[in-house]
Amino acid sequence: MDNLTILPSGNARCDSRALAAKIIRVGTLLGLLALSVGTAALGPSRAGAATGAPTRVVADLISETTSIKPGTTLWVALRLQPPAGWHTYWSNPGDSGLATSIDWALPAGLVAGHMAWPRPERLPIGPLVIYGYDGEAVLLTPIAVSAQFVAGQPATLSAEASWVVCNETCIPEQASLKLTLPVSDAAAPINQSAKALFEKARAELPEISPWPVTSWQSDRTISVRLAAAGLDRTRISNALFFPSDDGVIDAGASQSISVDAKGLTVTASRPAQSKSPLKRLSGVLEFNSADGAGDVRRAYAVDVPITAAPSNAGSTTSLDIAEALLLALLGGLILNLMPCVLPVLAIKAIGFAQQAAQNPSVARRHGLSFTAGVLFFFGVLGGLIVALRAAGATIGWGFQLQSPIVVAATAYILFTVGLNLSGVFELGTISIGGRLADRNGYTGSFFTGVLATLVASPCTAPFMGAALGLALAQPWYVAALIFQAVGLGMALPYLVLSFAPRLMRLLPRPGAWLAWFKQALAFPMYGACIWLVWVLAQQVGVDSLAWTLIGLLLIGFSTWLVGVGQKGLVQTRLVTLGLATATVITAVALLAMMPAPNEGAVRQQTAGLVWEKFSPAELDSVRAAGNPVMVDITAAWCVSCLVNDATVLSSSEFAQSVKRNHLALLRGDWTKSDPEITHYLESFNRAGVPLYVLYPSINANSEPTVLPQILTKEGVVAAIERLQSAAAENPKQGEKL
Amino acid sequence: MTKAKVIRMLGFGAFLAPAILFGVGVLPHVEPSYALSSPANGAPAPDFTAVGSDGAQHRLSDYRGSTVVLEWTSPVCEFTVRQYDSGNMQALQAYAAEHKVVWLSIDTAAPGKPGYLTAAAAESLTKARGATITSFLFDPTGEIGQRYGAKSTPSIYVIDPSGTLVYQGAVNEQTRGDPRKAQNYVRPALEEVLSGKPVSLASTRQYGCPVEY
Repeated sequence: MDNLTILPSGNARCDSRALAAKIIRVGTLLGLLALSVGTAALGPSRAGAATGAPTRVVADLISETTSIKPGTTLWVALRLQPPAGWHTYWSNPGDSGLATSIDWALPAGLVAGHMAWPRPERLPIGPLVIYGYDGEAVLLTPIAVSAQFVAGQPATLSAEASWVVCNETCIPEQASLKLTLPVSDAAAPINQSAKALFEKARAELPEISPWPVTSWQSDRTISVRLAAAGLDRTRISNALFFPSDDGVIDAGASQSISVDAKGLTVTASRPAQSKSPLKRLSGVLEFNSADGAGDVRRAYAVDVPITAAPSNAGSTTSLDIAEALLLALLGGLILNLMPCVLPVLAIKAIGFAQQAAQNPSVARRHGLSFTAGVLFFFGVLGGLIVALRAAGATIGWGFQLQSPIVVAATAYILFTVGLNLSGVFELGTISIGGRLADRNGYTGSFFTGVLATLVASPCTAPFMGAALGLALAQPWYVAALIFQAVGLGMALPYLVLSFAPRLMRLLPRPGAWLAWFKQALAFPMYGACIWLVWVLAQQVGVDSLAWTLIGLLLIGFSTWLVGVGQKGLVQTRLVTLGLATATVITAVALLAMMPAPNEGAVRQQTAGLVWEKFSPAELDSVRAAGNPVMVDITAAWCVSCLVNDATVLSSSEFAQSVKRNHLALLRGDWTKSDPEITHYLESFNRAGVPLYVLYPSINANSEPTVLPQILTKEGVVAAIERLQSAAAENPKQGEKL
Repeated sequence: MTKAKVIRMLGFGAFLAPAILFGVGVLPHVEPSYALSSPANGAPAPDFTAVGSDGAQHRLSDYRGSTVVLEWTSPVCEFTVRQYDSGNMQALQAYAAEHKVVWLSIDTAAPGKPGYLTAAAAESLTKARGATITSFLFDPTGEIGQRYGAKSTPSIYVIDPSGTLVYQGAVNEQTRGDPRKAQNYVRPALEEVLSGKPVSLASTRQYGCPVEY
């Protein structure tokens, strides 16, 4: 192996390399000789060793029986024994490498069948993933022996075996192998020395699934499902699908697994450059199953036609589209209650109240304009997300707040709206005194819809997580439909109100109280502004924050100028308008000075508990250490995350439960864009934060639990305690604790 | 312009400005995924700057106007070694040089990996191999390899004079033996590009040794 780490440096280097290779080859040859001597000593003609150039891998042919009986099938194993740390490849080698192959040259009357591949392992090499066998591989070939095959003379089976063996680099090798066996009409005796080898090899062959297998695909994913009713989800782990063909899935991407009462589904990503939809899926589905005797790796052969969409609704994570649309609608409805939306919409409601007093048909048209505005924004945002993702960017819902410029710009808008509500200046479009009945007011309604959606987008309502997760995994037109459903849900109350004059009469009559009410509504806007400035401080630090605060000051100044102008003479108006425009431009220019976001925007320490920084690698290593793990994916701009943090994750009950159960804590920060975290969210079909996942101790062999997006102390503590009791059922884990 | 109109326009401006900012602000902040991407044939080849064994910075877009071959190579990979030991790769390189095709060999291996080369080692390797290449470039962070989705050494990307990716894949059909005896993919691709024709076999499976990310 050392010869591979010698750095080539010219001719001299080539010589040293060649020399080292020679030494290795001599070593291998000696090993090979020893082996052939060894096998020869076992008895004649049961194992055939290689002839030809020495190889790094020790290869031999082993027969299951010590003789050949005409009219039967003879099984022969090709055994590849690479040095420790080296691997050979499966029939689909994955991202690199080449499959092992064997070419038989057999006497007439013997016909070799297809090689039976043992279940492959997934072997990651940096960002690449290959499918193969770490260490020894035993590949079985059935050889049909004709009934007319003549007994008496020994038969020689010859094979040219080729394989590629790799550790950090790869070596293609081949060997000519021979196996000579007596032919006899008597029952062929079992080759006792190879009995265990064949038993083990057969146990590793994929089985025919005893349960129905189905498969379906979307643009980006392909799923395979075993309808294994009654499969115990706590006993299933490490499920993986291996396609027979190259290019069916992105080998390097992680696969998501869901186990429910009706079966097991594995979903894998299609490669970015995948062409037309597939018609058939073949491969091997593997998972670990804790069956009485301990952890057993099961493998089932898959070869089924692919349907376009989920062919059953048994899965818990893949919602069907109607359900997703309904959830999206509900999510949109709930968005209205978010503190960052309510003020804007309250203004709208006041507008409707005024309309109710005037003209119902005008009110209807305002309702429609508002709805159009909301739908327009959701269309643009949805389109942007879908387009960016198609271009390969890893983003999700709320992603726009990962950009400090957008956060600062949103703070500017909210501040401006707040100042307007406070009465510093009047704006035709949203002022109560404005002429909403004016035909042009419809444009105002439209933009109120746009604005409401802009400020609502960070508030991912709990219902929207799964629906948007699904949206982003769907073809663009389904995704667009889901985004529109969210928009429709958000606009629905106002749409209903504008079309039902009777309901409108229930709203309070306009009067002097409206002016006060309007001014009061300014304060939630200032509050939201404080929140955004706080998020910004997390993202860019105090120094850059100062520029944004100066920008806010300039906006305050310019709106005041406009206000003065609106109350003054025409000349004053022009001067103030000019000044105000210049000031606004300066304020906007300040945005351009925004630096890239900082690392570590999210607190890693709460209530005396230390959260380690999340990464998939960190998760693996913490799990490998044997402790149960809680993963919290959060962002500074995520309101529900902050609420959960303050009410649940900072509580002493949570802290005690964590300590009692030796729970390791990992926190991922999605405040700024992070592809690793986006992929992790996607593996749970989520498009946004928060995401809380509890992993049991790795020895407990159960699936991770996803906690709800809105946490309760009791719920979290109970979930943690359940991990403990699940672990206690497992003897291995019992010893550990 | 009436007062109402001016105010309304200002109002629309106030709403439009953030909407535009929103769009503009998001785009530059979306970071590319650091997993392997796979550029499509017919799409612009991702641009990059890399340090060469000559110590100079080489930018792909500086070669716009010429056909460019990117060769992912490794000094230790047996598949690559066979390409050079058999003279197969040198023959391709000679054909390329004859037709003024830019040939950039790229080594994606971080220091400490078996395939890592110092600039001096790369220079002498190129000389020892008898390779006629334009430059030998280093990609120790793996960034270029990831942008091209390079999975194996040896593998080849052909970029036409307009900067469009027109071939990606293996040097020749899968073989464990003498690559000269296997069907070559790069030679016909180059012939087609040089005569202005579309590449008929534009994408093949890369095989060999995993790129040492």
